[in-house]
Amino acid sequence: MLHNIHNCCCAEHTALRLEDISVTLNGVNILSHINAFIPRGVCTAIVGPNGAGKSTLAKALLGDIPHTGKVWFGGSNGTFSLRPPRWGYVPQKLQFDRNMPLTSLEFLAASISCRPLFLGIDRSIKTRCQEMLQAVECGHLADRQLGKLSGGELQRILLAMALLQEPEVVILDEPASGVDFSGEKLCCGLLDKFRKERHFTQIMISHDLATVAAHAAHVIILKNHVLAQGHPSEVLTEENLRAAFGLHTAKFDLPEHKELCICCSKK
Amino acid sequence: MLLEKIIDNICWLLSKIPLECMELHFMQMALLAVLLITPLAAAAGVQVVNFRMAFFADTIGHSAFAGAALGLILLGSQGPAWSMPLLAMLIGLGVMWLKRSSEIASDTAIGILFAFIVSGGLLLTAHNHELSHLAQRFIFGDVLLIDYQDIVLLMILFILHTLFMICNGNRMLLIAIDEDLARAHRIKSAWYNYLYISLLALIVIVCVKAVGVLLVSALLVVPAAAARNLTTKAGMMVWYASLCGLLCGILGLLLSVHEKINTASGALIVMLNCIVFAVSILIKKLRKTAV
Repeated sequence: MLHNIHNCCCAEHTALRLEDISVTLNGVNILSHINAFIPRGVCTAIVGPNGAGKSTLAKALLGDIPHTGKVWFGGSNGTFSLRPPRWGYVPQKLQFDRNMPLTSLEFLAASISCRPLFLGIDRSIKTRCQEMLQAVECGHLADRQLGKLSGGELQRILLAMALLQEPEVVILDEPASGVDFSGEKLCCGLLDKFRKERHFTQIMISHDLATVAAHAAHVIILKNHVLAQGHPSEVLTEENLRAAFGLHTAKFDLPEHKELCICCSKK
Repeated sequence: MLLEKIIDNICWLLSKIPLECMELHFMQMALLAVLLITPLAAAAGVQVVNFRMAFFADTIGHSAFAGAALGLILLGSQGPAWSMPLLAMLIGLGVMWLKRSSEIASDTAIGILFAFIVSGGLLLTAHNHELSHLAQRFIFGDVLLIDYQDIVLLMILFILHTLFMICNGNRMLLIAIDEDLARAHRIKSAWYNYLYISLLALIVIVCVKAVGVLLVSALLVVPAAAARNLTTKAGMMVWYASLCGLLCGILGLLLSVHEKINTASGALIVMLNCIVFAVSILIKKLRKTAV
């Protein structure tokens, strides 16, 4: 029997279960009593307007900022635990010095190797990084300085870095920001392909409803608390979107994802 | 004792350099100090430049005479050997704590501690002639006055810094690029920042003795800045910076004691580094036009 990813919340089919998560920063209540689950092996989009707490939730999941409540991680053995999975993280933007001497290949190698770059890159690490660069269609950028890359190229390098961690869960913070339409399409297409091949769980933070409609199989609408969660066609309704964004929004052409739990798609 | 013997043996080796000045023991010690200080400061400078901490290094340097004065007042003549590195580490950790845990911008936090430490140093030395003389010594520094104790400390710091960078070089690079990204890779960025700042504070304090408070940040920053112009690879930057620092250090020291030049060694070393930096800009521009 195939599971319905939007209703099944057992440990085997759930990557993350958020239990009463609240975040208060500098006296401001940013997230309030978040109860949600993120199905395993599919793309879940967390949408909401600016200031809804989307990026804060991502940082709370990564253990980057303190929160109350618990984040449970489902295991393939059928039990929930508090032990975090291997993360892959693609930030919204990198706050780095663009003149820093650092090539794309060195950047990737530094993320998976202990040997410092000034002692040279191990041959096997170099091969792994080059293969990953090829996989994200950036093979020609191996020796290009990181600060000289375009927004789309940098995002694909960050995606390569996340994938090199062999992640169980990949978090993407606003993948459409600062990238043109073709760059975003390429990046999201690559992610769909890798997710199906490697069976990781994808969490996409976004306020771009078109991207969400095209790629997400499960949606959580956030506005400091959870407004709605479930199948995109049930969640991205005019009523919910008006409550979240305060606007009349166009009706979305939602593709039928028919995504399965990771266990079912492996069979 | 063992370390002193090692230092004496190295000095004996340096005395074989066919230069008249190298027959003098203080010159052998100075050259040994330069061989240790310049690549160490340049390699540390790569992190200083990557983390944009030049002003930070300056603040630690300026804590030198307050540290020395406090040591002399509280513990007597042996006091500065302990009080200077301790105060420098406290200032370094204080700046990092202010930067990380308060809403004050990092340059403001550094500015506040800079003002505190300089005014504190001036107040301590104002009415004491001996301390005023000491302050002057730390302002300008002199590599020719480096003693056994300094060389031993330099050797320890050289080994510690090299080990730290071998074990954590890539982690520090990721933290410098983006702390959030580093934390997502399970790197405890706060811990590494505090650890590195402590090490940097000790390096800066030893460098102060060689080139003085006014030039200490130049010894760290200029070779690294020149290396940035010469390469696009992070791995090569450390080597270029160390090589640039080392060559300018040796040349600066030997030229400074030449009878026709006879000038301050620290200042000449920094000046040569600045010349190399200017040449590196030219090389970068020429490369750009060639492409």
